[in-house]
Amino acid sequence: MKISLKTHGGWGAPIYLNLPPKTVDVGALPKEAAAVVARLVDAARNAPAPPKAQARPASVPTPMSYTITVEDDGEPIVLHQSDAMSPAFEALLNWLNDYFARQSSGGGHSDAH
Amino acid sequence: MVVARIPSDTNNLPTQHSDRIARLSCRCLNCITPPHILRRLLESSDREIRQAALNTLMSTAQLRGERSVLTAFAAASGPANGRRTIFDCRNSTDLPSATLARSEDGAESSDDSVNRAFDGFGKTREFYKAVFDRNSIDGRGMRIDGYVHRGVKFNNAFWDGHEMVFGDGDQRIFADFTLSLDVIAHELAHGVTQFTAALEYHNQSGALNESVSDVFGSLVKQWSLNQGAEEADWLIGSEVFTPGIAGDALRSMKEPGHAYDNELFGKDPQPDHMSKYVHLPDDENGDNGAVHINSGIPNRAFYLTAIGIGGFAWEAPGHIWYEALKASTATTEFQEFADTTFTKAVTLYGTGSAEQQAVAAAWRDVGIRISGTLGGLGSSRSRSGVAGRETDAPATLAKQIEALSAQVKALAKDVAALKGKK
Repeated sequence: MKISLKTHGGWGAPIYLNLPPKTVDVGALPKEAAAVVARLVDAARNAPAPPKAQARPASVPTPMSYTITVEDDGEPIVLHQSDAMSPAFEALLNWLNDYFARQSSGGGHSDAH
Repeated sequence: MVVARIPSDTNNLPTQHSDRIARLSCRCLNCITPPHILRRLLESSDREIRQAALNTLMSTAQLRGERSVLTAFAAASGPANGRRTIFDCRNSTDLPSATLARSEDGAESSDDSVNRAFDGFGKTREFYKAVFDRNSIDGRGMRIDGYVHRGVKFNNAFWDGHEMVFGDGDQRIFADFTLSLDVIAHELAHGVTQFTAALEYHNQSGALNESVSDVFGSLVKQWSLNQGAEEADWLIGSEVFTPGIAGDALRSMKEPGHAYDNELFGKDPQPDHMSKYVHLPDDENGDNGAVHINSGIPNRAFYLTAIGIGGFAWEAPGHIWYEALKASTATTEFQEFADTTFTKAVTLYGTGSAEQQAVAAAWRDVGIRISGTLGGLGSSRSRSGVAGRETDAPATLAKQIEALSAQVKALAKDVAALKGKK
């Protein structure tokens, strides 16, 4: 299973435009970490949609948003939420951000979670 | 369902009284509660009551299908004179669960993020009052609420139409967003735009919306430092990159496209001229039509105007831009805004004034010529002397000739002086 994350909007908008999605190969993770992320993906997929955020006036900047794509056997699953996200989506997003931060700072993934 | 009795005269309701009424009906601030009472309750010292009132106003408005009602309701929220309140999200993304961290009359916090947000709000509020005689974000004393420590390593700060929210940054690329006064003032300027031109947040109007926020964000910083246009750094967000990131800031108004260049995320993509305008899809994958990218063009036009006029940028240049913003509409694009700044320069400083010439020259230098008869005088007297579209008005032509004659005389005088030196 591969999971990728693409971030949009906010102060980093022009930076994110330049960057390809960040990807984690879950099959290459230690067993324990792979099990954790699989559970988080499952929870995010099955979580009820977050409460609809208050409508913003058309002149107010759009919120940041996140696209998480899960590729396993079969069709890719695309999860997309904005700043008003479900707790399960947030947990998966935080795990991914933490993992990618560790990777870019040279940290291993044995302690990824 | 319990419905509170509402006194007939509510205009002079003491806040405590209205709070008590609200407590009685807190769970059912429903559509039968008169809007003026709800607006009064927006001033309550109790956050839950304010939120309940706002929710009720919002749901009522949504039922009516009024998209822009947020602006109207917030404007009607009463004279709070921009009272500041900072809440601590404690790394949650659920704003209603945030706790009070500092209020207008409260003591300083032990949390630096709280104090920086509070002080940044204060400086921004003072700037608008002192420079433009504007009472807070909406011009009517709207309270200014801020939320710090939103989420975990959240790489953003934003205005959501009601309040401002700050993330701590991931500490790898972005630092705590409360560190930057121009970021705070930039976001609050989105509120000012919301209550004035309401520039739609996509394509050119969106890029203009972003630029206006950069302009006033930078002006607040310059004003607080008492810096002249030549002295200012014209950088946006110079404090929010961590020290490990190669880059001066997120944007440069002076040199769009040159704020950063590094291996991690590439080069600043902002254009500094219309010939380099970036076309991207009007969706999240295209930054809503490159709003954060093409803002470089009007940003540089403001910078050039400020340098052209000289002195403090919040004076003539700031007033011209502020008046142009108030005269703009939701769909105003670069050309129309440029024309409006030119017209406002005439209104504020007179035909043929140095301010007017600087505005015309600045827009011309980023590839936008002042339209039609508007541009006749100003652009013909601009720095390079290249005229925009000519006017047929004899009176204006006569003034142009008069102005050109004066320039020739001045040039002849300079040449004579130079010869004398030799």
